Parts: sequence; structure tokens; C-alpha cells
Amino acid sequence: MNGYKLAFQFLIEHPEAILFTLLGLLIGLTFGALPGLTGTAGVAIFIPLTYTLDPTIGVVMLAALYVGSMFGGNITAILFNTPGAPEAATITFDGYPMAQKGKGGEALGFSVGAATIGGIFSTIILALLSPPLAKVALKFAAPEYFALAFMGISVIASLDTKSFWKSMSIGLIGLLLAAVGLDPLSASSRYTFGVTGLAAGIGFMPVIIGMFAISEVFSRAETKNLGVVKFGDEINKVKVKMPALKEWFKYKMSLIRGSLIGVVIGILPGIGATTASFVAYSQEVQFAKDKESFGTGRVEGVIAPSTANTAAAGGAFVPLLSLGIPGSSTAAVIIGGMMIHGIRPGPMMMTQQPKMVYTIFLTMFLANIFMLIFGIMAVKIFGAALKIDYTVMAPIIIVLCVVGVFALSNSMFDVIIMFVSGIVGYFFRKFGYPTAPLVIGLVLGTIAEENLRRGYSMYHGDLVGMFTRPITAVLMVLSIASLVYGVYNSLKKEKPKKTE
Amino acid sequence: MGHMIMSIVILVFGIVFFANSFGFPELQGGALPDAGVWPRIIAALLIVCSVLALIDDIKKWKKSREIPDSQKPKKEDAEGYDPKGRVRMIGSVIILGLYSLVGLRYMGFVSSTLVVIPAIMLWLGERKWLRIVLLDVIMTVLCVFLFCKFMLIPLPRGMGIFRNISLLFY
Repeated sequence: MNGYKLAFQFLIEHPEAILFTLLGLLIGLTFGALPGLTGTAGVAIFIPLTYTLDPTIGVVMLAALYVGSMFGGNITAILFNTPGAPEAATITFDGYPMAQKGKGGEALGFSVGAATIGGIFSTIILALLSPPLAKVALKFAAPEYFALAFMGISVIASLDTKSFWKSMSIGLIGLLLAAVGLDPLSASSRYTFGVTGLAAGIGFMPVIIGMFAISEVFSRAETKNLGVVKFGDEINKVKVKMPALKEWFKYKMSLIRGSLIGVVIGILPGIGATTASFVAYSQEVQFAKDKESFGTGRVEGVIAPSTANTAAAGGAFVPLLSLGIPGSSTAAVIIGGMMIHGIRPGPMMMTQQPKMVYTIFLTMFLANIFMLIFGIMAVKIFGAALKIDYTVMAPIIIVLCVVGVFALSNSMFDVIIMFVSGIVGYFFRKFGYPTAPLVIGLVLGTIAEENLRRGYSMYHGDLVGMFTRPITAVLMVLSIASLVYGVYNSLKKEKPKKTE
Repeated sequence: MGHMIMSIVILVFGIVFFANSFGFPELQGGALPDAGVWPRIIAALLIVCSVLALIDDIKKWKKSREIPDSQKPKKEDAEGYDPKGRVRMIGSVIILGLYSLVGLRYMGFVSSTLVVIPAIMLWLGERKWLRIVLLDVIMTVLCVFLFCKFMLIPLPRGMGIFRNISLLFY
């Protein structure tokens, strides 16, 4: 309870934290609603704006942005059959048919209510699970920390990508880039190729911003009408209808199923909200008596994926805060944002930064309440953003990214790294290489290497002894299982093509 | 074909990093593994993964060659395809490259941003001058206010006359 006391005290002393929570939520809602701009890009673009904020307020704002982006995509999915983000794709199945029948306002009401319930449920699970998990993790030494980082890296195998080998290649590039610069243990120079700027290593922020935001500008520039979906004024005409309490009771099982599926999938590293919403939708179909009516405007088809989306976002924070493992690509970017403020997420955070951890719990709870109050209203206000031309958006993104990266350490070299990462990211997108594994590799690479070498030294070179420590062994087995499953899945995807 | 080139580039990257890892100094005493051990393992794994990705790409390429040209999906039919798209993309890269590599260093933030915003907007097809001028001024002023005045982060000043111009603002 001491943590909550500290958090309440912090919120009383810094009421602006609540304002930044709201601001993060509104930005997230807008980024989620804009097709092509994801919550991950939103977090990457807005990290620089948190530099001079109190670290707790900065992290809280990013967490709220993540929560908001989960719901933002549902609005355009329901009204325009265009999911603003991949995780909102399932909402189009029944949400859009409801809108076509003139029940768009009702669908939005169910969606925002369900998203709030899913978000609150996952925040409660987060607050209950993280402290005991971190307590166990406090007993960790170098071998366990290596195993944890390895587990985080093995997430790459479970990411939903077109090619397992491409995904792994990119993750390994991230690990190699993390090795660039001075070796932290021996102080010898590695992979600098005579470039002075590389001696300090490759910062993950310029890479993250280049990969997620700048490459997006390049990719958009190549597409017709800059890949922008234009929306009419319908968004201002829809009147949101919040369902009565008895309506919610009618769909209680959909809410429970969606919340549980979302939280469990969110906690599992690397799977994410998109899978959660698809699994939740398919479960609704499985449980329904008249399965064929799905896709024609069933309320359950809106409730379950909406609940699962936001529940997955909260779930992803459990491994992030307690173990330092990203539960999704957005969570990996948030880890980058935390590290900018000198905070290393993981077991020590719970004891070293209790104020921050418990403030995150409280503000995520608040963010979900705000979503219910401001969710629809905000998108109406931010509806204008849906009509902004990309010719206006692109320079805003470019200038914010360049200034943000420069401000990080007053380094022009970082701006060059961002620019190069943007070009590389463009080619990755073009040829089906995912960008998230590179970030995961870059963020976790140093932790993995340092702890492997420390563990090796601890055991005087006895790797068997090092990896047979009980927790290390369990974590390593889980990680290897995840990698094997990734290979198996990749081969399974190939099989039908061979039989054709 | 592009996919295969990309896989080859990654393979070459892996080979260069693998070969380079042998050049790191060895540690005396043997209490810690050498600085090259970890990168060597990772680079070796990268070589394996990129070869497997390349094999996948070659298989797909061979399969696509078996399909008659008439049945192959045309580039023009792809969603969002624009014949002028590639030129627009390359131009955007050049503008951002000039801004990041030359503009900020020599012209400073204010002068280079005032040039780059209209340049990128015009290049992407914006023709409303009022919109261009307004965004140009608002964005530059907003960044100076937010980063220099509010967050006290010094933005690049540039050289010579551009430095003097920047001193008028921050």
C-alpha cells in the first residue's frame, strides 16, 4: 500500500500528471484513428516531448497514449469500414454493418464502453500481478537476467510476420547494432569502422524514430494520394448512444471472455492486441447459437474485440514493468522512452521506482475512465485531424522527429542515424521485413551480452552450471520453446503452398 | 528480385560483422569472454537466418517465374500504386537528407526549417500557398518556443549569417 500512498502523494503534488494523462490519451485516440499512423509511431514521435518532463509524468503520458491508440482505430472501423489500426480490423466485421443499419452511434457506445471495461480489468490484473512477479525476479542474478533478456529476444519468433527467417534476421541485426561502440566490460572499440560518432554506440531513440516515423513518410510519399483515406463529415453527424446498464448485463459473457483473452494474450510476450481481438471475435462466434448472423451487425462482434484490444494493452505492461520484457512492439518503444529517462524497466524498478510504478497503475486506470468520458467527444474534436492532408502532416512529423532526435543529446550524428534508419526502415517495409524485431534486439542486446558475460565469469566458464540454475533453466526452456514454435509455425505456413 | 537483393545485403552485413569480430582485442586472464565472442555468435546466426530467408525468396521467385506473364498481378493494379510515386519518394529522401546532413549544420534550425517545410509540402503536391506559409511559420515558431524557450534545449544555430539570424530568436 506504501506504493499507492506515494503515487497518490505524487498526483496531489503534480496535478499536471493527470493533464498529461489526458493529453496522451487524446493523442493516442487520434493516432489510432488515423489509418496508417499507429500507436507505436505515436509513442515514437512523442517521446522527445517528454525529455524535460518529470520522468514519471513522461512515462505516464506515453502509457496513456498507448491505451488511447487501442480504441482510436475502432471509430473509423465502425463508421467508415476502415480500421485505423490493425487491431481494429475485427471491429469492421460487425461494427460497420451496424453503422449501415443506422446503429453507428450504438456500435460506438458499445465499443467505447467495452474498451473501458477491458482496460480497467487489465489495469487491475497489472496492479495485482506485477508486484509479486517482480518480487520473485528480485532474487535474479546475472544468469537469470541473461535468460530474461533472451526471453525478450525470443519474442521476435512469435511476432506476427510474413517470414520467420526475415524476422529473426532483423532481430539479430538489432543485437549486432547494440554491440557497436565501446565494449562496456573491456572498453575495447567494436564495429566503429573509424567513425568517431559510433564510439558512443548507436542510440535506440534515433533508430526507433527513423524506423517507425520517418520510414512511414517515405512509404506514404510513394503511394497514390499519399495513401490517405479521406473521411467526410459523417463523424460529426453520428450521435453516440451509450447502452443502458441492463444491455451490458445481457452481454456480460462477451465482456468477460474478451477481457480474459485480451489480458492473457497481452501478457504473453510478442503476440499483441491484433491476435487478441481476432481470438476474442472467433470465440464469440464459437459460443454463439446462430453463428451465421456474425458479420451482419452483431453487438457481441463489436464488444468482444473492443474489450480484448484494450485489455491486451494493459496485459502487455505486466511483463514490461515486472520483468523488463516488451509484451508488444509499442511496449518495446515505451521501454526505449523509459531508458531515455534513465529508468530500466524490470524487477528493480518496483523497489527503486515505486512512485513511478504505482503512478502508472493509477493513471492507466484514470486513462480508461477518461476514455469513457472523452473517447467519442475527443474524436469529434480531433475529427478535424482525420481530414488533414498528408502534405501538411508529413512536414510536421519530419520537423518534430528531427528536433526531437537532436534534442536528445545535441548531436547531429543522432540526426544522421535517424535519417539512415528511416531509409533502411523504408526498404524493410517494402520487402516484408518487420521493424519491431530490430528495436527489441537493440534495446535488449546490451543487457543480454553484459549478463551472459558476467554469468560466465561467475561460474568460471561453466555454462552448464550457469544454465541449470532453476529459474534460468525454466526461462531458457520457455524461450527455446517459443523459438521452436516460431520455426514450426513458419514451416506450417509453407506446407499448404507445397501441396498446391 | 528486390527481396533477394535485400536478403543478400543482410547476408553481406552478417559476413562483414562476423569477420570484423575476430579483430577485437583478447582479454587477458580469461575471467571474462572476449569482446568478440557475443557479436561473433550473433553474426554467425545472422548468416544462417539470412541464407534461409534467401532460400525462401529464391523459391518464391522461381515459383513466380512459372506463372505466365498474363496471369501475374500487374504493378499498376496494386492498391495505391502511383507511377510518379518512386520519384516523389526519392525526392523526399533527398530533401530530408539535405535538411539533416547540411541544412541544420550550416543554416541552423530556423533558416533551414523555414526552407524545408515549403520544399517538402510543394514536392508532395501541396499548392495552397496560404497553408504552406502558415504551417511554415507556425511550426518553426512553435518548435523554437517549445524546445528553446520552454524546454531550454539549444537547437542548431548554423554558421555565419545564419548564426546571427538564429540569435534573434533564441
